[in-house]
Amino acid sequence: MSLSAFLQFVFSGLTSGAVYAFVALAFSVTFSSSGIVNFAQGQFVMLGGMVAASLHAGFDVPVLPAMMIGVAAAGIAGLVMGAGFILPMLRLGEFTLILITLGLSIVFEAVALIVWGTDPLALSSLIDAEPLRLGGASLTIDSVIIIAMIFVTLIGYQLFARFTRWGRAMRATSIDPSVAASLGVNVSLTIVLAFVLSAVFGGLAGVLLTPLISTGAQTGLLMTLKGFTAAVLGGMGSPIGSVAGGFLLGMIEAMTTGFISSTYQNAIALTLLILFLMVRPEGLFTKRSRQA
Amino acid sequence: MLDRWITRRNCVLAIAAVAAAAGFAPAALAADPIVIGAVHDLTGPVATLGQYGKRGIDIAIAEVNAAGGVDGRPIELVSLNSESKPELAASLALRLASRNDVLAIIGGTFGSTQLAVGSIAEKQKVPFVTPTGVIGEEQRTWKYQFHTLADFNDAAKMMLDYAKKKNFKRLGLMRLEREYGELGAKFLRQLAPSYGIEIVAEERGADGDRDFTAQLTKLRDANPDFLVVWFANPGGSLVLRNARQLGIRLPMIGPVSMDSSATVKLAGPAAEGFIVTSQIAGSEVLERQKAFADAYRKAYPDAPESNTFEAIGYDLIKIVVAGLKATPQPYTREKLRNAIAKLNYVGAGTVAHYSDTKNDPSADTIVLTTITNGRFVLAK
Amino acid sequence: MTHDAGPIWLKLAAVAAIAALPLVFGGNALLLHLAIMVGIYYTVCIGLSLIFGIGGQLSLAQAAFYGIGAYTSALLATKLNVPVFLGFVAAALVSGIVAWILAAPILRLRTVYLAMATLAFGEILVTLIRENRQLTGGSTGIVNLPRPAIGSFVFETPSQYYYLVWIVALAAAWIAGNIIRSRFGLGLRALADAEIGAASCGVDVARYKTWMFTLGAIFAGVAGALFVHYLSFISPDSFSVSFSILIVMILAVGGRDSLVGALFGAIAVTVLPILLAGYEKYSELVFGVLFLATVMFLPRGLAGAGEALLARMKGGRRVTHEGRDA
Repeated sequence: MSLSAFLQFVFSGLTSGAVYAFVALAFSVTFSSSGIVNFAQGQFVMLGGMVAASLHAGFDVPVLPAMMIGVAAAGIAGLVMGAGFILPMLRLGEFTLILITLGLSIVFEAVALIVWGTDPLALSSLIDAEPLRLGGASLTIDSVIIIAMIFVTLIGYQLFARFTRWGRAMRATSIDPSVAASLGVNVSLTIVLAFVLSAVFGGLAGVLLTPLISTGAQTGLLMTLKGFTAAVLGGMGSPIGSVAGGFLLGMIEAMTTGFISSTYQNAIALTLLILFLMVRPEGLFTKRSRQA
Repeated sequence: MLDRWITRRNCVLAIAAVAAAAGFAPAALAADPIVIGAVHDLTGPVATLGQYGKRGIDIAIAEVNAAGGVDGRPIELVSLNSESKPELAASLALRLASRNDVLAIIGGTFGSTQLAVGSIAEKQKVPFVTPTGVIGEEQRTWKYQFHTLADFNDAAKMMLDYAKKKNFKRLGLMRLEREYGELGAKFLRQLAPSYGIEIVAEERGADGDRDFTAQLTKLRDANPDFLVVWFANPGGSLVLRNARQLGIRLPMIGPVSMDSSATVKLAGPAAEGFIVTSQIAGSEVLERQKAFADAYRKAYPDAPESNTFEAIGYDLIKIVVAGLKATPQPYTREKLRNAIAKLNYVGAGTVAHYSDTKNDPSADTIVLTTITNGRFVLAK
Repeated sequence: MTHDAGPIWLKLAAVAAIAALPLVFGGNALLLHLAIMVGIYYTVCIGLSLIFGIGGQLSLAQAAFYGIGAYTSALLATKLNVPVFLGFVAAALVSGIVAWILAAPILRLRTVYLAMATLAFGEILVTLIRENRQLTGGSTGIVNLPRPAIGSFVFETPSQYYYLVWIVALAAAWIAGNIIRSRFGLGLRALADAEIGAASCGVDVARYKTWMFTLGAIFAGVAGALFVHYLSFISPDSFSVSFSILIVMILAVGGRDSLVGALFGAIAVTVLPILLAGYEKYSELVFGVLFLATVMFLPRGLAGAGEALLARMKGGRRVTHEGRDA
């Protein structure tokens, strides 16, 4: 195996890893605020990507504004979901809430199929340039952008969580909602905020990955599964853990494809996941939870 | 818990909603139509092909009905969505078969739904015309099933013929993991030695994969003369894009599942020069395809060039109609089946000489195309 | 929680209706086919009821055990010519043993981690099936599986197969019902209500978890074997995670804490897509909206709704928490 081939596998892993990291981060944000695993999470990725791609292709909106509208559309969908479907049903318990997100996921996908049809849509690159060539391997500018953006997003989110009033309210809610409420935190609003933020992260992933791999109405479920895997791998609820989990998953997949066979990429990633869970039942990068 | 939600009124409303949703579209007004059932994959993983096929089906029905139908009776299509799920497809086939007025069934766009509908059609003795090829040897003996997609063995031969003509010796195979890719690989492996061609590397990918740079790097390192990309969209188009990104400039050939406008839209410049074993060249139609191509251009003026699945969707209806015209009145499923089994059908996407021993098209149904300036033209 | 299916006459009437169905509708191929599929899904779902509905553990491995049972029986029948009924027994044994071994490490995990690990197990299994082409036929699978037979009597026609499936389904329901009402079942319920409390009262939590997981897997395994010998065809497509999600949906629609609910759920989720298929590309949207409305407005499922309605009709008597009035 040549060094250039190995480097190519690394680039491949980093690129998919960044996408998974976005979705995993989004999972973590809603999970830590409400305890809900949002099965519709991947649909925000789809929505952001499809809105941006169809605006660009159908209405000649330039790439950057199209991407911004795509992210905003995902954010609005997150608002509707959080405020309209999750908040009023909060008393029904975790299982029902998860089923609601599953139902919404089916509805999202079905609507997207009707609006956009079955063909995936492509989007032009944000910066039109030849791929970088490093040590015989190649890395597209779109990959560089998405890898950079996940770190920008993670740092931004951490700063928000630590230094703003709402960020601190979200953290307080994630530690103990009833204590947070007694301290004057508006728990309902923080939950809605968490859904909006997670949808924005999903939308960001969607608009950034569409120039790389295109987006179709049916991309959502796949993203949900990959993002969920990454989040559990790193630790549900931990932002840094989730992002690390995303890159770890991307790397495992790329190396399995490179050195063994693509057929085993899922099986090997998931076997490692089970083994990790045996050792650290709450994810690789989380601190031991208070309830464990 | 929430018992207060469950008032009697709520329950009645819920039941009414289900009942309303479950109601069927009202029957056509025209007297005594000829009913054809369709089980298509309109949503789910292979929905793209299902929806393109539906375009051709609708054009054919409009055309036949505008010309006064068959023996003065209009054609009515009972169109059902299998969601690309085999179990659901089987149930829907039974739903159609248990309606006495359904004379034939069409549909099933990929292996599993086709097998599901086909085996029900076989047991219930309903003629079934499908926009797919033979995927298992046992299907060749099925009496009620008629294929419109060329044998994949013939497609593999066509690819190797082309490679031999160009003097390629080393084949790199990038294929789908699932049965469709398995089938292509099997035929290529069987045939390659007799063409003096060696398969130097074989890599696989799943429908859901979105990055193929690792596989393509390995293929490149095996130093092939050309690549066969036995894939479907969107994966296949992403393979083309990744290849370009890696600077791989090898000639590439793909099967009919890549003959779709999606290939051009998704792969863009990376699709240029890609060779496909199509059954119609959208921008260079043959004489037998003109009538369909004109109708298609009128129906879809924004994207006026059809691909294979639209064309064979059209053929599905035309084959049933041709069968009906050769069937003595009153029509029965058995008589229709016997008529189709004697058809010499030369259509938009299919050339078939059906008989009791051959239920799929002849090899000359394949038209080798290549993508030039974003259009499918005949390959030289 | 209401685990009692109702008065004995109601149960007898239900059994009589199930027994009479092929006599009345035997000519309707579609109806019989659906009834067979409902019976198979119901059996898998009873298994999940034990694991989740009673034990509170969301397992997404039902598809995997369904697949293990199916492949065990199919391979024994085609490779070793083992009679199909013995294959069914083997299906139960193998899926039970695998579940029992898997239970020890996996059931230590909680909520989402358990869901993820069980989902992962299923996906790994599908890969192994697909890649062991020599043995399993890969993605293409195996065709021409034989039908089960007793002596020279073969369960060939849909009506005959229907009875076979429903005998298994009702047996599973009977076993599950007895477990739920037994001391063991009380332990399970205590477990769902408060794990720590149950443990401190001397309930062996780990043992109960393991047993119900195993039993649930056995039901799924037998159902899987019944399924593939009915289709006479097996391929890995049928055993993916989407089947596990389907079973969870059945449980949610029917009502997660009642065996009758599981039956309603199985009927709804099997029949509805067939009725909706005429909406063409809108069919999945309508299904999604109906599903969403059910979980939002009938959180105890169709069974819960029916029970509340029944109670109201009787004159406003509230259903008590134990589900028994009078």
